[in-house]
Amino acid sequence: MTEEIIKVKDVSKVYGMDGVKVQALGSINLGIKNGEFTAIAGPSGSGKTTLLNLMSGLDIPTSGSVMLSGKLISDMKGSDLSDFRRDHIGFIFQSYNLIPVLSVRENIEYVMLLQGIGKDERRSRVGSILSEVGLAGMEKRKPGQLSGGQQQRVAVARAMVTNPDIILADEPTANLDSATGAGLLDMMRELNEKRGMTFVFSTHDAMIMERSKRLIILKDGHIEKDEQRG
Amino acid sequence: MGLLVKIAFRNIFRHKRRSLLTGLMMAGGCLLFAVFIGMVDGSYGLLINMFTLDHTGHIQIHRKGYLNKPSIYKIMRNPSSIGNRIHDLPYIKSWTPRVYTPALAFAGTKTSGVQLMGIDPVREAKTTRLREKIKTGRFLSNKPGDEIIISDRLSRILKAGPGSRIALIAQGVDGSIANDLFTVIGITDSRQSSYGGTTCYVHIDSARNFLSMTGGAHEIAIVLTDYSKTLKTVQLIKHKLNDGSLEIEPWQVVEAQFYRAMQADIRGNWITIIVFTIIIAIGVLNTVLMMVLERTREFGVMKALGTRPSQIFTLILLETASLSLFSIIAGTLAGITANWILSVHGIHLSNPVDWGGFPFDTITSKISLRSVFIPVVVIAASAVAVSIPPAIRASRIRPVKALRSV
Repeated sequence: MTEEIIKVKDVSKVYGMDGVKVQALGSINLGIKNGEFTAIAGPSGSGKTTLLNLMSGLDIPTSGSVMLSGKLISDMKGSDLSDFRRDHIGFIFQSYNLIPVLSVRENIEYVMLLQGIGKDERRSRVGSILSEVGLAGMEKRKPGQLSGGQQQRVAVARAMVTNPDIILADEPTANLDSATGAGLLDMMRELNEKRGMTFVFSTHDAMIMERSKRLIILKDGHIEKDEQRG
Repeated sequence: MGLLVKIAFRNIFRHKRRSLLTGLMMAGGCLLFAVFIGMVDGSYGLLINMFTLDHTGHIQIHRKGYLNKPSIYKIMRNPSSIGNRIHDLPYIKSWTPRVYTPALAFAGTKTSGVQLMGIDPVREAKTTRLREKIKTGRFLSNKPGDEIIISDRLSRILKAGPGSRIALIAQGVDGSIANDLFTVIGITDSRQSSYGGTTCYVHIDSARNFLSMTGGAHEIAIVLTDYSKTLKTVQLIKHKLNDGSLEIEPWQVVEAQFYRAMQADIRGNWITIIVFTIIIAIGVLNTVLMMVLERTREFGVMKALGTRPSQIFTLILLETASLSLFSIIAGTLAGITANWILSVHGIHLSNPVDWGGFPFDTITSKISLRSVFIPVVVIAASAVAVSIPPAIRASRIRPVKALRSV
């Protein structure tokens, strides 16, 4: 039986907005297994980004607990949480979020540098991941010199290069045209199958839902549907 | 750390115009500080030189109590012996003995109260600039006689010039009435100097004869090779002479009024420096706040990727420090150059400014450790200090909130 890499237990999230409490998530129970390619879908305001933020430790649940790789991340704080994210989670954001003053190579190396990985190892990993994402030869370019699709490929490479336990992607195709989005998803699916890396997406993009192996539908902060796909 | 330095360095060039303006403000502040301190030091240096090299010397020795209450009776018995004993001490350039008495001067129908000063012409010329202050006539000859030098002010009051005869009346140390006739041989320029406007000078032996003194002196003025060693040398002299009947005082005590005024002025200058600092610090604070606000999302991403809060804090301080470094180097070089030019050429004032009774007609500057290091420390410290609150704010940014910002 495959081990669950994420365990979300009775998690709820309530935001206070202008004195009014808004329940973003109800009592969510969820497990993500190693190697899954999961899409969390739902309409706007359904709580998918909130769930992804809670699963990554970017946000703190109002109640319940989140365990990632056997660690209770919902209780972690400060540098411990930073170090945990650095070593166990890869992020892909909707708007790429590359560091503009760093080149493609330096952006991909960023987390490895934080981890203290040596130069030779870094260079070797960057060379190999750039080939995998189809950006070989673009190492020295700055983010501003790349198209949206290329930037998102760099973000994928940055997320994968440290071999994290899980990659969390928040609407990764939202800013891309459909052809570029499809190409990117095919690439990530291929990497998932080849490397067995776990991906969790929040999305309302039908392409992602079609390509996911598991689809979780959220509605009004609750899981409406959770199905395994081909 | 290398990564943070790289990001910090590149971020300086991210908004070139803003960095340039902030850098110029810091460099300009550094330059202004340096010139301000250089000019203050240079001008005070000029004033101190006026006091010390014109007349006072850096150190004076008197019979105990003379400084507080000068009296012709408070005589040091062996000035030559005292002078010879201290002559070889470190920093001592030269010394000269003096005899003083108040007197009444008559020239024809004109009369004036004067300060008569008996000097050793050879030693005085080696020690002070009195000889250079003669604007008409000549300096005293080495042998005692009836020669007298008077100030230009006294010359105007008595309507006396070279060749004129002046009668002096005073009280001798033996209680007798001292009176004698002297011939004016020179006129001193009492402007821009610490020489009194009614001082007149005779040979020290002539003064002794006039006052019925059998020897001795009222004062020994000492000039040093380096005036910054004054207080140290006072201790050396005290130790060497070990004589409780003498008072050995630095120029700061001898010219206490001038020194106090100078110190008050220096303290007042700090207000100017503080105002400068606040203006520059506000400018830097504005830039750093703007930078943190603009890059909130970026800091959120960095934190999401695993950058520790302390690394974000360090990054912001490094960015400010890097910009400060460039600005301070430029500002310091400009400050040294400006101070060097001002120390060579000075700024001549068409209308001299009166400072403590001195007509001050040239503002000059001085390159000193103070004029280099105070601006560097003040600008760097204030720039880094104002960066701390925004840096703390950035380091505490919650990634989930930061990622939502534009």
